[in-house]
Amino acid sequence: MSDPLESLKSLKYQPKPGRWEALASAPPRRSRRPFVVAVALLAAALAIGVFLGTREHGLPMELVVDGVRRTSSLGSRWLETKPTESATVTITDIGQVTVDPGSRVRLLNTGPAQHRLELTRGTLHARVTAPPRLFVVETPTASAIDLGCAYTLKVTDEGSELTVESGMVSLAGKGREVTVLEGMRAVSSASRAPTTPVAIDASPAFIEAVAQFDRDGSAVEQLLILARPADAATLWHLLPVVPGVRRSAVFGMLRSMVRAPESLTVENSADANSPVMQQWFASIIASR
Amino acid sequence: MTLVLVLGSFDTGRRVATFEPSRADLDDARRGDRLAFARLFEGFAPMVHGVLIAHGPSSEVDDLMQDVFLTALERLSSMDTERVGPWLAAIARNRMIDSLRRRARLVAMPTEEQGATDPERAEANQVLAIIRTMPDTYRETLVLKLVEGLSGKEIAEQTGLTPDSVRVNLHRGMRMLRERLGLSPEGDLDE
Repeated sequence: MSDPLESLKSLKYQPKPGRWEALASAPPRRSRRPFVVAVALLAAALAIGVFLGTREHGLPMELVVDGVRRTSSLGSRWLETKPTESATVTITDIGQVTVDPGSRVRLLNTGPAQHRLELTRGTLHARVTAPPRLFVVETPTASAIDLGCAYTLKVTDEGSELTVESGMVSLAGKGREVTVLEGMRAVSSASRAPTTPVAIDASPAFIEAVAQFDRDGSAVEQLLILARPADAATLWHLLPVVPGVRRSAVFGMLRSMVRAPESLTVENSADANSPVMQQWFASIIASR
Repeated sequence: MTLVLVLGSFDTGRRVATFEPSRADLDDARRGDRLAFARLFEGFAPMVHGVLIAHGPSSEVDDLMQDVFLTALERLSSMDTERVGPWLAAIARNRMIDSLRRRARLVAMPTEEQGATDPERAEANQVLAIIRTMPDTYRETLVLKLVEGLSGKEIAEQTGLTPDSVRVNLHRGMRMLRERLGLSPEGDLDE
């Protein structure tokens, strides 16, 4: 008769190479306690404000005016670049931001925990190599939160447009946070939360179908017909916001493109922050 | 992460993998390097897995392992690099308890574990169910030894228990387990 204790070895942990690295590369979970975090951040900001008093802190900056370079710094005062001006701001040792002509930008705060700029007009190009969420750019309609990447952020009267050249960036505002991957774009406006990210090279019909869904919740069938495997990240973003029956269709389509974790179901796919949905997103990133 | 193969003088004398976290990964992880933490976590994963299945249904362990990983990632700044194992074990216990509370399964374990089609796995689940009825002090130590194959030294290092406590828990736990399974008292673990 076999030893029943020997059978326990069949339950032993089975390593899956790369599993934890893939999960670590996925966008960090959003806080489950946004209020607590907001209060903590506010308290921290107040404490820092009291401690620093009126001291002016700035980041080193190189201004280029009519082709002539001069050294300066970006602080809490607005920098408004003229049509013939551009600026390159060095974000300590984590990267650089280039501000295009005709832009309005300032530094909100800088420190070991976070560097935060505000852009209210124009365009900036960021190239950052830092732990996720260390570099943030606020715009009037959303926050662009760096997750390790290079991107372009454009602010106009209509809203903010984020295009990611490498890595990924989170765009958050009005209760929605989307993760924009390399080669994708998302926009936000004063009246609406960030749109579902779409690949820049997706077909115009697919881009329009996603925009239609973001506007009024329709066009799910059209976008499913037009979706390519390269659009998997777009479909993943739809799962938490697609209502009831249609979620099954999006789930099925996405599962046909990228293998889903075994414990994932249509029902629990509505929580983008759940570990299993984060795992699926990591697989989507890995499949690109 | 460094995996060191050593000859084990304990247990059966077979080659046993001993996990020794790399100092560089510990420091990088503490500074927020997510990939360094991922490498680190892989080494502790059998212990985390063992702690989870010692307390709750195997069907939820995969999801909960990810939950532990992500929770730890979010709290990297509070990680004590000298006590990573105990810290992860505490997160694992809390996540499993939270999960059980959420699902109101504190008393009844799900039935799917008994429904396993693989006879060996079905038998393993039955033994595990008996281990779960044992006192907390024996439960984790037995699972880490019998399921994950960790040595007494590794169990002590990774959970924060003293080597003496681990030895006593294994000795008494094994005796109780064999009694409950109707097995002869011999075959005790020598560590």
